[in-house]
Amino acid sequence: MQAEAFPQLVETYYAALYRFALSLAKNSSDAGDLTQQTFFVWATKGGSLRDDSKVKSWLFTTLYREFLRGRRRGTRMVAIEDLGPAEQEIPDVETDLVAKMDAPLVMNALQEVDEAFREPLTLFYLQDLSYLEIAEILSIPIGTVMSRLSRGKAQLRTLLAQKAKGGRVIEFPQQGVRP
Amino acid sequence: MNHHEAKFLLRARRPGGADAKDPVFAEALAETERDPTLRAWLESEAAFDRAMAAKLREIQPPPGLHDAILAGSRASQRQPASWWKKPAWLAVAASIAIILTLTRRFSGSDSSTQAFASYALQDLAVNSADHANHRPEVASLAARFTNTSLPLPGNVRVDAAELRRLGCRTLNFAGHEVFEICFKRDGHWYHLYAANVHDFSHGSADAKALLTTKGRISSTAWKDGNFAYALVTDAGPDALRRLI
Repeated sequence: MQAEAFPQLVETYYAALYRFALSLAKNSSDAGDLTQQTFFVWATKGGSLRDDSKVKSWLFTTLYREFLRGRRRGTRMVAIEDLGPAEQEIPDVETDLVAKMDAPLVMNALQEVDEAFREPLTLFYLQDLSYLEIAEILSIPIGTVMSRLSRGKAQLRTLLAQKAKGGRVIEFPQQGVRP
Repeated sequence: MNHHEAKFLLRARRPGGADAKDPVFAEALAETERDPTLRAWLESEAAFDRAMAAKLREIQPPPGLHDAILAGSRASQRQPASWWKKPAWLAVAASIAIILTLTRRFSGSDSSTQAFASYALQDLAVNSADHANHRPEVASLAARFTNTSLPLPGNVRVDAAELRRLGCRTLNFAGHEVFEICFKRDGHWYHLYAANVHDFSHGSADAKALLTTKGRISSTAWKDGNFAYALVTDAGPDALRRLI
């Protein structure tokens, strides 16, 4: 990819990358930093990518790796197996309800989904990525992507239903602290 | 294929035609053609997915992020390998580097300090909402800058280990660690960004401060032997000039 195409690359992907980063980092400051860092890595290494069709996956993979590099994984993964069958836990959330909710509130619900489910779920809702690409970006098997999408949707619907009823909104801690 | 299996697969299918040719979904989709209950479920699921995707698209990046990415990329002064690794470009780059070095010797400033000032300016513009967050641990540090003799260039003394210990906010500029210290002086907020001077492509010390203004935010940058500094304020260029 030629250097003059870089601004076009930024224009095409920065918003989607930012949204993915926001769902991971849970605050706009860190999400902006992650997005910037992703394009910096592209500027230094991405040019060696020979297949232009892989650019999108490369950028999302890089952002995800930068996020993981920035912090250690906690114990939240343990909760994955505790959810039980997804099929039993999906509340019926009216589509109209989602449409009427404010976007930040919907994003807030998405951010409360367990991280292991939130990662594929956000990539899925960005709609530019297939389950195959999501598996590649997150380095997990295809079956695991499908399982996490299924369970993640169940958890998301539960959270949306709670928020629609005026349930408790959990404030997330800020990662970047200014003096 | 039972309902549970079909739903499990179809939850990974994007609404719209993006996955229309994927054979993984073919059998499950065929099942929806035979089963009205399953078909109704799929329509409801797709509508929910579309609504979620639409809500996600409403989330807009902060104003200025796009420009900050481009500015940061220019500042890195490194380009994709597919062209910059070519010998001809290396020769051109070497020539440009010599010219820039000579130019800098006479102008007393350089492109990397200027890019650092632009980066700091963009950071304040993009993340202005975060600047109300001040940790008590660093209050003494902020007070030090409130009372530092003027001009700040030449009188600022910071220690990276101390900044890390106090929990200063850190950022990333072109792959390098940057500390930010917010302090108030004469009723105005200022934001000092500090990075290891050796992280910069031009390591010369004592480069003069240049002033950049964009909208209501002004920034300047300078170096000493250890750090490159960028000072930013939204109090206007005159408020900035009083400190440099």
